[in-house]
Amino acid sequence: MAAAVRGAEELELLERLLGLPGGNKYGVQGERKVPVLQSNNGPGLTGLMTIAAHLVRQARKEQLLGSSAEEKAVVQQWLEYRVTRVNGGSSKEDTRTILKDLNVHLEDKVYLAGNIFTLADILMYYGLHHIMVDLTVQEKEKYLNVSRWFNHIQHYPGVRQHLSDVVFIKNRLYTNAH
Amino acid sequence: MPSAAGRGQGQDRRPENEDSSAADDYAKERYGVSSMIQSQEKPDRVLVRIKDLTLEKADEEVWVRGRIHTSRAKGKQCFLVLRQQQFNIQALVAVGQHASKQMVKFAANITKESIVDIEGVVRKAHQKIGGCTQQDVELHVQRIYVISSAEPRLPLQLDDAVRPEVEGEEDGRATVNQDTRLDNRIIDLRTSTSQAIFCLQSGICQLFRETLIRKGFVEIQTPKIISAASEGGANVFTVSYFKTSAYLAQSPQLYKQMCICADFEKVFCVGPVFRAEDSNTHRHLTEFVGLDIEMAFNYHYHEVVDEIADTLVQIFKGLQERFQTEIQTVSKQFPCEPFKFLEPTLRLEYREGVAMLREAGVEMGDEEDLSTPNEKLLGRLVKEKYDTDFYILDKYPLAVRPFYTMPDPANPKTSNSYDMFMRGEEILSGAQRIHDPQLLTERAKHHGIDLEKIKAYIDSFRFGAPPHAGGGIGLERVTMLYLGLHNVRQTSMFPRDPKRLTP
Amino acid sequence: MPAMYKVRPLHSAGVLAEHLPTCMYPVPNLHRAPGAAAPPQEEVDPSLQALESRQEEILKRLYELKSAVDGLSKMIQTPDADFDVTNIIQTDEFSPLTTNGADLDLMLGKDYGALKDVVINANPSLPPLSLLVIHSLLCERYKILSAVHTHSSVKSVPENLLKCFGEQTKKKPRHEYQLGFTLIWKDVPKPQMKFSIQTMCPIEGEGNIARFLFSLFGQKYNAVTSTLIDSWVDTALFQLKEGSSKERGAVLRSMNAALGKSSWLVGNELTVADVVAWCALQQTGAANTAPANVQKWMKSCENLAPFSSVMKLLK
Repeated sequence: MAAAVRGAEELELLERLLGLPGGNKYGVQGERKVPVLQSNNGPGLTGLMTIAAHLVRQARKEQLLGSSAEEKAVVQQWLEYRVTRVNGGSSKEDTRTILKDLNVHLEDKVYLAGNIFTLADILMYYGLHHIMVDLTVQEKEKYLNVSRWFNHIQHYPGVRQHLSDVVFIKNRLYTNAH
Repeated sequence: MPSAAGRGQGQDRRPENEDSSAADDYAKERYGVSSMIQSQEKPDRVLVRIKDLTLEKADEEVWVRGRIHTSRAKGKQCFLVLRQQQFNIQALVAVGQHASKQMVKFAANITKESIVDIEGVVRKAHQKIGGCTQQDVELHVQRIYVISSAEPRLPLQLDDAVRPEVEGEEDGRATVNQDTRLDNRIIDLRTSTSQAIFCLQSGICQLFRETLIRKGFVEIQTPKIISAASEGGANVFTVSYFKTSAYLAQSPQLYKQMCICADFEKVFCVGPVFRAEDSNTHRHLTEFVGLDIEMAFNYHYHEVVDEIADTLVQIFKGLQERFQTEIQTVSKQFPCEPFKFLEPTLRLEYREGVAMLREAGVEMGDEEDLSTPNEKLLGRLVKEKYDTDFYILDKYPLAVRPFYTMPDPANPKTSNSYDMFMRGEEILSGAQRIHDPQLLTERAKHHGIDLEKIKAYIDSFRFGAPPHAGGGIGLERVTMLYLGLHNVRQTSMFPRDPKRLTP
Repeated sequence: MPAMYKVRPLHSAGVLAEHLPTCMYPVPNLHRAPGAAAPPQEEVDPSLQALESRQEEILKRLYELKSAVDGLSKMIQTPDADFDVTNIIQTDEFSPLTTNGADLDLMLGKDYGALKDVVINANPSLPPLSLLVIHSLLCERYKILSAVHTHSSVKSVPENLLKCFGEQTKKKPRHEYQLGFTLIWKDVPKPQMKFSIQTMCPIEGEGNIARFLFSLFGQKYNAVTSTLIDSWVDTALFQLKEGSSKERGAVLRSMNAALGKSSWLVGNELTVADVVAWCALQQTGAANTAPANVQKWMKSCENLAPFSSVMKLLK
């Protein structure tokens, strides 16, 4: 089982992707290890979604949060999904459900929010990395749209960084298409 | 084919509750239950095979023997389907010149699977009869006698046994599960699919022998009761042997090699193999039929690999040419892609297989053995690239092979060994054998094997042994994979596994 | 690693516009320094004209000599000889031939520690001659493990096609070769090539496969030359081989014109264009009625072993 990309590691990856200078201090809170951004003046920020959105604004890349009201809502929705469903040790059942949901959603979309690359894609990528790494060739083919989306995001400049490259085969081995 | 003018076999027994109008039964000589055939006579009658009832025989009067597959009464008519091995034909008993009402009723009440003799006229069918193999003709019955009747309650319905299993289809259409089939194997084997499978299996044996004999091989018989476990494993059956005990042979390996040392040069054998492996998988049996080959070679073990591969290719070609009917019959119930192969056979090195897997994202070590899922994935990758269901993987790592495998002189980590795959599953594991007693002893020690136990084996090489190699396949597994089936019990007539000892 | 949906611009704006020539086959101007514009048509002294035409004649003979020596040097298979000859009349259009196996690895993608095998499926009723010629050329440069197989979809393959690679002595273990070339005679409508595990959609069409295989020589051409080569490959396959007799006539005339100015279809070197065109011409059967320059060029090709060995398959 690959280790999930979480907490400080994930936020640091995000910082680098956004081109921020780094140097933020991250801590954790509570049993569920909710990330906390410690600040010198004030209470600090709690929660992956909050911190991530803050970093995006800091980097002046607000378009990653969506432009229209609808886009913004969709991005929020997937960030919530990430935090509530994908975080933590998901059971095999849960993983299957997540992949199935995503596969259906991504059937007719390039990115999670449709046609634009957003923070939703970034955090879902980091969130799913440890799952995708362990999938068999057959499973990757079964969740074809997720594979396509994941392969696209992992090649997006600056996203993958030190994380391992997940291999996808472009041919279908398990469907008798010929 | 003119029908013989023989009289109907004695119509002794009549159904008990007969019509009061028995006197009006003008057809009473033409139907009934025959007396038991105890070879009391030799009638001059020729029985035609159902397979041969075609348009060519239209309007001929013929005698046919077959089983009642189904019977359906409809007013003044009774439709029967008569079955003989893989073939069946529709037969009609209708009130008229030949048949009376009582005869029609009699026909409708014959239990399924009963064997009957029918005299009838072959008629061209008005429309193609889709449900039968003989689609263009039907038999108009003039006489019908039961030769051997079946008990009314069958343990399984043949129509159910032949029905393809489709996922998520309409409910109510039953199929028969494997255990029921195997418990009532005699009935299950009557299905057209089973008939076809075992005809094809017989063909594989035949082609194996034909091809090897043509190549100058000699067939040998090896003992199955042996004194020591040849492979040194725990998977042997023990039998009591007078005052001591003996084992059932796990493979003819030792004796094949002895024959080579006895100068038979090229040998093969067909015989049972016993493995006491407590695996309940789709591809393991405790007893199966092994087709084994062993051959002395001149300079390089590839001479042997090429011969074995060519033998298998000749078998595939022979099946393609001579058993198309059987292949089609099986694919009606178990559809699958036809078996593809290359000639000469594709032979990749083990490291190429590993490279292909790595390229597909699998992580594995250079000297690691192939797990079954990896074997299957590799099979798909090879199929995708080369479009072949049959290929060889050569030069396995030495560490994962038995002690008697000859190491590769060019690379201490590799061996002169090979596996062959059909549809991604292993069917043959072979190698160049060590023919030098010193090296053999060394390797055995390296594997921690008790030298006392294999003394006889090592001794066979002490008086001049030619370099040799070989391998063996399992008949049931090859049949299963050729036809694209999924359980080896379908291709074993009376399979044996850890849970099954009968029938 | 290509990104799945990213579309890279094929060339930066303006390149084509800048470099497209106004004339198709620039011939170095013999009278002026290179780079100067061609002079407009003017009245020339007949004696000057005679001199010019003699000079043209000499140059033409020099080109022919060069290609003959090219041919001979390839037959002798001494890499140095090859190198020297190519340097005699070298324009800046061609980079020196590379003989490095390491470069081959670079071109073929990541090394997973085993033989890289190129698989080509072709129909025995339409043998892809140009691929066989390029295979022979590749064998002169690299250590290639060649294999011919018959697929079970084909009943029988004529003997000469089964032996199209000649007698293969496979004495070395597979991993000691630089590249595998596996030809499978199969019931396919068009030749197809499979290579990489990750992106195994077959490359179809003789021209496309020929381009890939020829690129394994590591030749670098500029944009114009590449386009010319591509254009000839397509012309040869679609108009010469598959075209009407009128189209064929037109192509032969263009070829004749081009071959009047250089010994090969594009520039001073054998390119994939020559291979494909020669094979196409052989397969149309119009070889004997081709115009003079084309016939001469065909002979230069036949002087090379890879071409002459393929002639046997035409019978």
